[in-house]
Amino acid sequence: MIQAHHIGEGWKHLVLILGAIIVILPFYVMLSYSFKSPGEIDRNEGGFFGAQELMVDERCVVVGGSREDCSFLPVVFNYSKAFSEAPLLRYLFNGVVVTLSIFLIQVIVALPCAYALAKLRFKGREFVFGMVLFCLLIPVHAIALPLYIMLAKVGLTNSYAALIIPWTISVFGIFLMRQFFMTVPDDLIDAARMDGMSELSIVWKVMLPTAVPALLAFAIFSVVAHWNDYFWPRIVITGNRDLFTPPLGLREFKGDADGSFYGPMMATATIIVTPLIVAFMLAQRRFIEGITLSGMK
Amino acid sequence: MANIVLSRIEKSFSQEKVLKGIDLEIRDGEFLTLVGPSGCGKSTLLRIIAGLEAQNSGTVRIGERLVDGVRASDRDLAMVFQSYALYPHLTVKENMMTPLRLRDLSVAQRLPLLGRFLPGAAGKMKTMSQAVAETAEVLKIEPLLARKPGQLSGGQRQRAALGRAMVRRPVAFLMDEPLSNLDAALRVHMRTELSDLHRRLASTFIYVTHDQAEALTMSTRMAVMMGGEILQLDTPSRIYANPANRRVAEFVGSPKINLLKGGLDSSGRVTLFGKNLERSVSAAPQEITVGLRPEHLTIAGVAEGEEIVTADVRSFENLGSDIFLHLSVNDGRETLTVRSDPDAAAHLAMGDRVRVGQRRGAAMIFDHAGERLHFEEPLNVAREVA
Ligand SMILES: Nc1ncnc2c1ncn2[C@@H]1O[C@H](COP(=O)(O)OP(=O)(O)O)[C@@H](O)[C@H]1O
Ligand SMILES: [Mg+2]
Repeated sequence: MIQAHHIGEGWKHLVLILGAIIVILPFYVMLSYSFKSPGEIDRNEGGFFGAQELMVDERCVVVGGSREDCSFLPVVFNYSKAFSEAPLLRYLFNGVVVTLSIFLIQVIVALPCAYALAKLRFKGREFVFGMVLFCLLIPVHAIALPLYIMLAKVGLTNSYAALIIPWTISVFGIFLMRQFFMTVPDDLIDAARMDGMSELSIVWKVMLPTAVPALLAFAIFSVVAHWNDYFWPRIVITGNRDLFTPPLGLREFKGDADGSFYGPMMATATIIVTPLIVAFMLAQRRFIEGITLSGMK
Repeated sequence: MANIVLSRIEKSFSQEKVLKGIDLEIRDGEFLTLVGPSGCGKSTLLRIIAGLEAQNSGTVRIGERLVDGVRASDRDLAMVFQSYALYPHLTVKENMMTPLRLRDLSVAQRLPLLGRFLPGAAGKMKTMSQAVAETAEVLKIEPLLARKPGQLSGGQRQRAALGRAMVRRPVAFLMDEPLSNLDAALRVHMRTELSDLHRRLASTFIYVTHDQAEALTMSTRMAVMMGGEILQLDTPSRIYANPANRRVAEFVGSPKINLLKGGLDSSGRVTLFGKNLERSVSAAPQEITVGLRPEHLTIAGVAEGEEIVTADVRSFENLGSDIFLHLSVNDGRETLTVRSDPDAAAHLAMGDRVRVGQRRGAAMIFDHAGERLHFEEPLNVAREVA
């Protein structure tokens, strides 16, 4: 009886471990390659960290450096190349500007919408909410072309605006926040009205603070999606490298026929995902603590 | 100072008529309770007074002012909610400051960081803090001021919510079942506290509850509501002693009044259990209901022939000071509840047959439609059954 139970537990863990390995493997490879020299990557040797023997950068020699000057530890070589080959810091900055702007405007639009849909009584509310649900079903790629054409017509391609504007209204955000606001007791809103708050103050001073956990969930969703987005920046940023977002930066290392740039490419990838992971770790605690609604019930 | 006068208030929610023409005058400084079973429209009426809901027709007047269309916050009323509705992210002090800040500070002065340095802000802040401190002292919640609602017990949240209402010194307090979320002991305790507070503040309280005991214990006057109408408005003792109709009689009083089938003969004399009550009313012969409260009946010292009916004991409800006997009459076709001294009931057992007599006060007679019928020649021939 007890043994059967243990075997069952064992299976569960086996399946979970397998799943974890499948998810983690690409990250493992990314991190490992970012440490290794091109030779080690080619021959697939050196374990996780590589041997970290001094390697010689052939290009540096070709340009005229002495062999001593052109010798590096592979890890140093990869990460310095990541920053020198492309203006990675500039890309990271662009990424921050774009994702934060998108998230901020999304919140400014979604919260009042969600409040109205959840708590105000007006004609056609159900219809509007139906439209919100309908919009959830439209895939981005389906409307990418018309969006691009519209932006091109008003001459906004190759600008921050082109990267930000199409995402400012997040139906998912409206839906998520509306569902959360539904759980906020009506009494709380009435109390705020009695105290003299306007409807907009209620949104920002009462609903927003109680909705922090939901807002964090939405923030993670939104920031991750737009930080990692390759599709849309690739479409609207055609020439100006100054506007590249981090994922576009990765392309800088592609197309080298000799394939010797895997190391720096993976170093770049590592640098790009690190901020997300750090942000998630920081947010995680707030996520769990949250502000509960217990004060109201 | 300020009477609150409602006239012909009607309200419907999608076809369903929730309030059917309410007329009500709430006197300055009184503790008026709106009491009735849930769903009868009490909260809706209170919310209309508060300005949180708009009536379909009728008017609300506070003092000299017609307040229809006036924002809730501009009516100078404060409300205490059943769920307390404290802002969960603010401390008790900040909760209590909020209505004052919104009322007394200008938009610029309310700005975060900057606002407090604007001319006049410091003085106002000081007055506001003082008001909060005074209220906290009255309610004995000073040690809780720095806590957030999540760190308070139910009773403490209740006080904080009261405090938030009190700091504004409103014309009237509106309370919607404020004690419902407390445990039984605290609820009874808070009744006294609310009464004390009412006396101390000398302000108008409009109190909504479905609990007739709360209404009886605290009110100056109570309005019994059912089905969107006020059935009776009077002092608790008069409503208890003299309900206007059968529904009020049934709602007020615990345990419930005994409602027994009776009859009227052609001369208007009342019969109960086939016996004549020696009282008459002027009404056509019909089926009537005779209402007798449990304390109007007795089983002690009822001589043979003096009883109104004999009945079998079905169960005891022992409250310590009193015992309520639940009796069955006519093989269980009717039931009776009788209040008794514990001593008098001590020797009784389940199934015993007892004689039930009328103790004091008169029976109440309701016609077939449930309206009260009054006796013609009150009390002069009333028999005194010892
Ligand atoms: N916002 C609303 N929309 C629709 N029906 C409502 C609304 N508020 C109250 N009602 C209905 O009005 C009736 C009276 O409600 P309420 O005033 O809350 O009763 P009470 O407080 O006496 O229990 C109920 O039948 C309720 O379903
Ligand atoms: Mg109610």
